[in-house]
Amino acid sequence: MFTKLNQYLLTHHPLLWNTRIIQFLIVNLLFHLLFFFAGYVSVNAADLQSYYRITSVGDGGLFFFSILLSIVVVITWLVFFLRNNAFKQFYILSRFHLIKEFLLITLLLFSSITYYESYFNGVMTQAKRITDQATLVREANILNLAKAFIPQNKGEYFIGNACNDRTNTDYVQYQADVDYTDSININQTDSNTVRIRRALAKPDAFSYRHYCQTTVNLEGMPGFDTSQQIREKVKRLLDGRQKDSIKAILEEALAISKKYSVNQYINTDELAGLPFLNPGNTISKLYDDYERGGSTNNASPYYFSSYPVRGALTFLQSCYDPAQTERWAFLLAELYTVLGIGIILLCYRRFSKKVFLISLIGGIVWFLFFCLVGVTSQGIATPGYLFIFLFFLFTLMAVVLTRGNKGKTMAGLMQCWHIVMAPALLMVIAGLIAWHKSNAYSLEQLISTEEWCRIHPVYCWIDNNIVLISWVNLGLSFLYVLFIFNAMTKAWQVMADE
Amino acid sequence: MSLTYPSRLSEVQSYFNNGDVHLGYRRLLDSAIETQDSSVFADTLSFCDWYDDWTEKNTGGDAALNERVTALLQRIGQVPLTAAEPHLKLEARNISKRYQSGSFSLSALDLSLPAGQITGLVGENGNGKTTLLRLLYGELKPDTGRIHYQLNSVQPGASFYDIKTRLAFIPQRPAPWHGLLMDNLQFTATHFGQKGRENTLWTEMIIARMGLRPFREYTWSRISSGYKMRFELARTLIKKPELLLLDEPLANLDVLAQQIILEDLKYIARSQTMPLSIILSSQQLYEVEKVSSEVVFLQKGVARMQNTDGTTNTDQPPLLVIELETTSSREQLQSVFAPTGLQKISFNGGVYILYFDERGSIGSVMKKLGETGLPVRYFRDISVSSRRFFDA
Repeated sequence: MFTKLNQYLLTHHPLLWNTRIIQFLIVNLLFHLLFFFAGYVSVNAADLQSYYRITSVGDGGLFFFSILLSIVVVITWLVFFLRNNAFKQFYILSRFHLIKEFLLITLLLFSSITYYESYFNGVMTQAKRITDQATLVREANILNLAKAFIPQNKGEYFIGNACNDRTNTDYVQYQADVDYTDSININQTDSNTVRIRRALAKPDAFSYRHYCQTTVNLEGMPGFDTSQQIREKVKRLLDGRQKDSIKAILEEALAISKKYSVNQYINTDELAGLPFLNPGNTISKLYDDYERGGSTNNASPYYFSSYPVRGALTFLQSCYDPAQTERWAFLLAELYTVLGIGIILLCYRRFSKKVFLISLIGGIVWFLFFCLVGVTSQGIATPGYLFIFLFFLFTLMAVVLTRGNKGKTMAGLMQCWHIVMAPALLMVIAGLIAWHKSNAYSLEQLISTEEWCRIHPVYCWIDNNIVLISWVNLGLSFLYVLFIFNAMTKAWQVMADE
Repeated sequence: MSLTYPSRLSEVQSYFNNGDVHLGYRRLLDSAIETQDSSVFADTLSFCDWYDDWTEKNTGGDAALNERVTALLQRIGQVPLTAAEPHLKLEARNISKRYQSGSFSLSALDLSLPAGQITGLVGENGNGKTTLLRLLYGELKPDTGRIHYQLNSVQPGASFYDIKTRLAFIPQRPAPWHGLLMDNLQFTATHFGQKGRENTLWTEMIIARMGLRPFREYTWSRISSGYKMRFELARTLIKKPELLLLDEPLANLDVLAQQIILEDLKYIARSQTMPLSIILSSQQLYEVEKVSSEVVFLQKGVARMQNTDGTTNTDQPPLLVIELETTSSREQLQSVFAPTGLQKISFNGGVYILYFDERGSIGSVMKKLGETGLPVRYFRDISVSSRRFFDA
């Protein structure tokens, strides 16, 4: 089948044949499926508690194996791809041949260096199979509600901490392990201390009614109960003295914990009754948040570990989050890598070996030179401005020499160096602006960020949108290579040697 | 002399009738290629299979061969052909080149390369042959003058890249190919518009034409230098170039292969449907002169043109010049040939070059040789050959 396909491509689509794109995409698809499968089988409900976020799944060994595999695949591909070069042979090329060739190069490179993405996708698919989104929200709501009836930290039930609403004038920063009557260690005239002491004097200072927390925060997901809504639900259960309902909620929380292999030991009967022991539903007993294992005679055997359950649910949330900031950052880095390798490969394909080798060695020398300038100068201003100056110098020389049909080797060198620098140009400019901003900000630190942004809107915008700028820069760099650089190399190719 | 198509087919038939099978086979393929017809290609390749088998078994049976040849020639003759108008492919005016190092300069020269003709480029090493070829191919920029390309398949105003797709330059040492040779040739054919089955037929035809059928599945490293040059030529012909520039193509070929290649090039250049202009440099002076319509002799960067009749751009109509290899001394030669108008003798490359005035004639020289009984190992009239310019 491969022979027939090969022959068909050779006699119909020489670019596809030469790039071996179909064969290698099939190989890459198989590797992606393998990595997906590896990710899929590597996750079970019991493991979710230890992940917290998607990028924490897996171990370093598999990651390095994926890099090793990428290198092997790319080198093997190059052995085939570099066999023929229609451009250097002056074969008839279709109008978009060079553009298509670069796109195929980037497609192949991208598919070859992103095996680990498939591993993540396998993990996410399995995680979503374990818990669908509706179940996730329901479990989070139950856990958050149940947690209200498992007091572990008095501070969460303090009257002054209600809903952590900082606009509330009664809000105070209460810490359960601090003795606010200690006049030696605590400043008794501090307004926070004064308010806490005033609140502590109230009979319902620590009541279930003040609980306003979300142990698991799935904010933004439809159906998720906010801390305010949890507070309302708690109030309704207390008002209705719904002891059985509270017990049912606690047992559901236990079931959820069990699903994710988190051991808990609580007395649901006791916990369901505790809120009603004292007037005002005040706190009468605290539970441990980990298993003490009976190390001391006085230790309570009961505990509820909310942290691992929260870890599992937060991890699941990251699987459903369309933004997934970390993965987008990964993708951005991968695409820049593809662009960089693609440009180097393009320099090899478009220019003579002499030009490529000189530009490669020269490029390394330039890199070391910039490192040296960076080390010896303070900040990034000197190397930054030098970079911009050299970029425009190389570009100007490349255009002048190529159009003037003079100095083919030098023209090739200038073209190579300028295209290697091009993707970094916008980022260097943005970096310089941000650097100036941080310098200026340190001088004007007495004003607020909002005020500073009003005075320096451009700097502020760049600082706040550096990710967006990175994406735009990536797109512009691709377009530049596709439409400008390819045309330049075609002009270089027909230049006379001397 | 250019033959009309029917006469070419008769010529092919006569080769087979006279038992000149291998030459006939090559001309038969040339005739089939002229048609540019896929069905003819398929029939011809089928014949090639049979021919290979027949040659291998060598069981005689010429009647069967002639029968098949006749049938195929009739089939070829049925295809109507449109002869292309021969015209100038390249015209260079006053081009010159001096290297920056100053070590060599090519003096200004004019050159016209018409379709259907071979132009030979001869001269000693380091006299500018490769420089001139690279100038014509656009690899070097001339210091003065300009080169005008007039190619049928390139639109006016096309880029120089497009022009170069229709020029072919084969350097003395071609770059190695990678992968199977057949794949390389098919890759070239696809780029030049031959798709699918047509691609395979066209490539196979050229491979057969160049005598490369047994080697098509080989790789570059497995074939000899001579076959490398043939494959390079095959790849070039697949592109259907309008102007072919060859730098020392005979260097790696044996004597027989040199003659075959040159004859083939002459035939290919004179194609009626795809006339091609060829310029080739070589040290094989006499072989090149045999096939060239014009010879450019380069000496220290200065060019002398010589037409087939021996007239040049720089001197008078040629007088008698004889190349002679003998064990006799210079003095003996002088005394023998003085009465026949001998003007000068030079010893060059192990042979004597004898220059005569207007009294000299080939008959009188041969008569003297016969009368005196001088020991002669080699004798050649080079009056109209650029060999006479190679003076020690």
